[in-house]
Amino acid sequence: MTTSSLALPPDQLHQAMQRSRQRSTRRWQLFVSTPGRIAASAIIVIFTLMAIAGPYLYPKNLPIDTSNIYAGPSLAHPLGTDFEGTDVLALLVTGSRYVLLAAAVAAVITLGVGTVAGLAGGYYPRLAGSAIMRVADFVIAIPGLPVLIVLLTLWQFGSPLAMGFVMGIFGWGGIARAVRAQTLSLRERGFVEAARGLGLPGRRVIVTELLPNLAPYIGMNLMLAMPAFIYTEVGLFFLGVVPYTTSNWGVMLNDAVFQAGALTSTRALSYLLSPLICILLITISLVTLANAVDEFFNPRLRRAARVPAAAPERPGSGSLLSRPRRRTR
Amino acid sequence: MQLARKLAAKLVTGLVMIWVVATATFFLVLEMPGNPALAQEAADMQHGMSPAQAASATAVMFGFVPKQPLPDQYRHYLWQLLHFNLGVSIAEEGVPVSHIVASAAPWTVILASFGIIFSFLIGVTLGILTAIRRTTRLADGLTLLGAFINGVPVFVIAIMLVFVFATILAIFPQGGTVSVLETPGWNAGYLGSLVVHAVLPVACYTLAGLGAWQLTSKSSVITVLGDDFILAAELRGLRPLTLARYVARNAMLPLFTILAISFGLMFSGAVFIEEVFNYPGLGELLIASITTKDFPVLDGAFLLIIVAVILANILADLAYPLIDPRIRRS
Amino acid sequence: MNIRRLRVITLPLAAATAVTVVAACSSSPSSGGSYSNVTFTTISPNTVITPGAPMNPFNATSNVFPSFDSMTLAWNAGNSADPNQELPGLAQSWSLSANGRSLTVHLQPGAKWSNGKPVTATDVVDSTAMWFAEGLASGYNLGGVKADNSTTVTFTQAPGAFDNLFETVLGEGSGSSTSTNDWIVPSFEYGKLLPANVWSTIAASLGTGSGKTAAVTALTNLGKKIAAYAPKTDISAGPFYIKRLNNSQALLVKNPDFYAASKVHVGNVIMEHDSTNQQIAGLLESSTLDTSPFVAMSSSVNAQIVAAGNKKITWPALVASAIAFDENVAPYNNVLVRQALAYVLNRTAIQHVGEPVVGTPSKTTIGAVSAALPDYLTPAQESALNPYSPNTAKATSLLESAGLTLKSGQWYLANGQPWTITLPVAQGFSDWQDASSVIKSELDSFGIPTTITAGPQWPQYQLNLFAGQYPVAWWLIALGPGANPTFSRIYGAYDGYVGVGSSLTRYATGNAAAKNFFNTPNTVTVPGVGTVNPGSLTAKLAELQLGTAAGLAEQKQIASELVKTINYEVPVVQLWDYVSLAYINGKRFTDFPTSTTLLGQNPGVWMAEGYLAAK
Repeated sequence: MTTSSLALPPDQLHQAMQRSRQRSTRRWQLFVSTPGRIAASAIIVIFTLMAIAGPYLYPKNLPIDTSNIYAGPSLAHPLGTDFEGTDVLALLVTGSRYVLLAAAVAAVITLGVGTVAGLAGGYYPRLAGSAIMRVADFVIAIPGLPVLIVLLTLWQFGSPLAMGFVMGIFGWGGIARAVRAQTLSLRERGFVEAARGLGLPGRRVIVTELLPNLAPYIGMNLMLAMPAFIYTEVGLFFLGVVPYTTSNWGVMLNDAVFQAGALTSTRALSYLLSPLICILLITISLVTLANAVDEFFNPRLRRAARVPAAAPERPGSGSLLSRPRRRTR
Repeated sequence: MQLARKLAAKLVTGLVMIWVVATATFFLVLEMPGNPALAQEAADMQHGMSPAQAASATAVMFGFVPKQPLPDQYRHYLWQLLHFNLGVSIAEEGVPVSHIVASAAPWTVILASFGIIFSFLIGVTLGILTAIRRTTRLADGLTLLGAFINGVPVFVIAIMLVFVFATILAIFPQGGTVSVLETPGWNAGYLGSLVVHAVLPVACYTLAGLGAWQLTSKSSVITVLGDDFILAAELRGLRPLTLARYVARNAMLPLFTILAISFGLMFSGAVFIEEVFNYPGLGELLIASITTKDFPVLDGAFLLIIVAVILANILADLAYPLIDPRIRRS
Repeated sequence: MNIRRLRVITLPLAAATAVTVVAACSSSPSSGGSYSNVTFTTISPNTVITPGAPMNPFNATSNVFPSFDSMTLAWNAGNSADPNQELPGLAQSWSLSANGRSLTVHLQPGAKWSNGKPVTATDVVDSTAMWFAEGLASGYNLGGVKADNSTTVTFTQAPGAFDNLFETVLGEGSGSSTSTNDWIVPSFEYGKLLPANVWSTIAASLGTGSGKTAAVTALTNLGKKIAAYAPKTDISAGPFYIKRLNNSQALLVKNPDFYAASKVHVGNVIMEHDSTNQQIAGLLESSTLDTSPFVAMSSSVNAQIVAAGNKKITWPALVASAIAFDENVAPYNNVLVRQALAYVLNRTAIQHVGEPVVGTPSKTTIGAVSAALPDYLTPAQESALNPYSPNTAKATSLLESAGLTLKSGQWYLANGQPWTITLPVAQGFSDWQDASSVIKSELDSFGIPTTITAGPQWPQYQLNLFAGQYPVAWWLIALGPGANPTFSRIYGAYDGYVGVGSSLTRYATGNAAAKNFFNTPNTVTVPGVGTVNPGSLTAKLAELQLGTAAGLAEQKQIASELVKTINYEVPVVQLWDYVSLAYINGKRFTDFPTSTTLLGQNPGVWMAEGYLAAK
């Protein structure tokens, strides 16, 4: 832990940070050079476009065809049809918005609340710290999925925003703890100590010094949180505990397994696999990108990935997985 | 002495948290529309009873639905809770909640304990292997596999396992805990049946957690491998075995915390698995009591989940300094 | 009710049982008292089995198994015309008095509890007191009971009331019913729960005197006490008793003291606990189950189950799905509009998507299942009904004559407002959900923009409906057995009619005494029938003495008028009739019953009748 930066005058310190940013640009080029990562980025872009523009490509009410139920793939229906003869591809595209929007909203809330709470808790460990962390512990202690199901019987989650909001509200505890730990460690580093030594107000130190340093960590967590939220919401629809009016990927899975019996007959296989493969593609892409981000800021990990944070509902993991590894200093 | 004080402080905060969460869930659960008797009445009517018959058939169950004002109910609930009394079920008309929860919880414990241990052991082994061989194609493959397994939703794994091993091959039962034909006790038949029934859900639990453990431990090991002290040790020419011990010790530390937390989360972590495998643990109980609106049972199940999480957190916090000397210093 | 992920479908039950004629149950096809130890496996259509919870049929837990260890006096045969058709249970025979107001029941000679003690008239009398405490008997208008001798009891109807004693006393539900029922329990175990003055309390609760409220409270408290009572072991008068329970299965073994033990050829029964349809399908495909309870399956799953060697058996169920209208709301107050909608909705396409396996498109809107029509109409009358074959041109002309207008693909009401429909679907009713999208598509393209909304769960859905919030809604109709319950789904409490005979009263929407949401006119004029009052006609059905030929004939007359009324008035558009579906796996057992009357019962009834033998 060097303290030499303390000796630097502010303008030199600024230049040093400039250089560091230039280095980042070179790393970015390194990042883009890997084919897997390009593919992953492309997949994410495609799905994002699908969620934004997809629903406009189709009529508001998808046509049904009761004489062509659970049809296999054909030219007219590249991914076959569902229980009422609706095109599965159309369902997939129009259903992407709910799933991705809800996951994105949840991830943003988780990250937003978690980062603010973690930063405040870490930077003011005595004042705000313990109070905020008690709240975070409280959020962690709440059994997420069951409470979510209870809430679903209370409110109707027709809107992806509502679904995302509730998932986010119960998801930020782990991130808050992780960010707090990172902040605590950054706080003792030279450049932060320098800034504090210069008498900069706490808010400024947090925004100009801590946040940029935490950004990659937060960004990585954002990417890792998304799949977790996608599982959770799709899982809820799959379990059949959420009322719904429009189709989405979870509803499709539920229909495929429980209505079409896709697991016991090949009849509706494309109906089952389509949403499943989309979920897998998104997840793997996000994990790949998260690795890239991590590597990119953490040269030790070059040529190797670092992947923590899994779905809250996964046994053996939980959102607590996103606690930082203890780094030896 | 310091430890005792710390422990006391943790326990007090823990109790406060239990109170807060119990209160929150109490009111949340009561907010759910309907009640068990109403749900039963509707079911009876769907079963073909006339409205009058259904109303009279559920009169008794209505008797179990508390009618006092909410604050009184809450006071009563807390008072009973202080006496370790969780109340009685409404949907099961007077059966103590503690009995219902206690008969479901062991199955979740069996499932989760083995699931966590197996996924930890296998995942960490694969993770270390990937980390050591991180420049090889094997590691790339393993990493991809880990990301892939991590990417499959747990309910999908569960359904696939049921489909292949229970429906098609029929080598494992589809659901349940133990064959009722076996006499309960420490006999081979009973234990064998327990194991046979647990294989698929435990395998599912293991697979679901595997990827996360693999990727986390890989990352942890790689970080340690790059540490200065390992480099120094290498330069000093320490034997690979000694080196491996250094690496293992340092890389495993963060994983143990996560392991402890995983055990705490076990009660709420198996909803999907228990649903698909028809394994009557706490997760299935939760879903069932949400369906029947049996709020005393829901409260009881939530309470158990919360207490487990909080206890695991306290234990993890307390145990950490013991296994990581550096923490004690700071 | 195709409850998607939820539980085994228990809807049909009373309904899912057999229709048409009660095929006389032939006596045991095989004889001999020996039985094999081969285990018979089926599913208990209840929720999770809880070891340690009461093995007491009055408790709502699922630790009791109707027809296996829990017995009623008789099992309802589920006859569409005559709800009094019963299969014998603990009662061997019975007779109704000439005025239909008292019922004498003779117990099975040799009926014994599983500890060897005989089943006596005292058991029946004490059990009846418990029905009152559980609130069952007052729903049946039961007045009282007395023991004539040790094996004979006589039930009497409450003064003033008239109900069908057979149905109510002998076996309110069918053998496959799961709801709390009029069980017979042993006095030596349960009698101690009854206070000495129980019958005077019951009398006070039935009366109108000052002590009524106190007596009702006392009975409710007694009911709670009885429901929570947990005998140490299972005491059964049925063919089996519970030997062991775990969280996922129950093991029942043969009761050697059962009155027809010599006819039972099965040694052990395993009850798998309730699971999802997907799991039941898996258990059937792996040949784990010897028979399944009623399950709603999609056509592809059904094909797979049958391919795995299971035999599919179907018979008409006494229940149908329909779209109901609130006639307080324009334009649904216009019969032409309702008729037009019946022409727009294509029942075949809707059923094909909504309920492909356990449904069949309704022939037309009649308020009863099509299979029950021969009970009510002659073939000539039947062919005179309007079939409402899909015909949008006809619908258009009807709407135009009702004063509605079609402009650029959108229908406008007489007041100039665009006509739109909102159709709520109760949560979990996936067949309604799936069918709704076809309905939406048909109505949309006809020019009535339709929105499907996710309604609340069933209890709240009903309350919203009764509060007049849904002008157009899904509804279950034609719930048999019997003509009165069938037509009451339209012209009964849900149309504001409560009471019988001179006490028949009509309440408006929003009145707590009734659940009126149909709001049909008091009288309607039906071509070929004349002016009818459907509410009083339906109520009259409850007063018929169905034990007599005259009663049955009168029922047929009234029902035929109601069918014609419903066919013309279209208070609902009937979409599909349900079909009862069971699977039989012949790998381990042979000699399954063939009559649908028996197939509609729980397998315990089959075994008591001598069916089922290990291969």
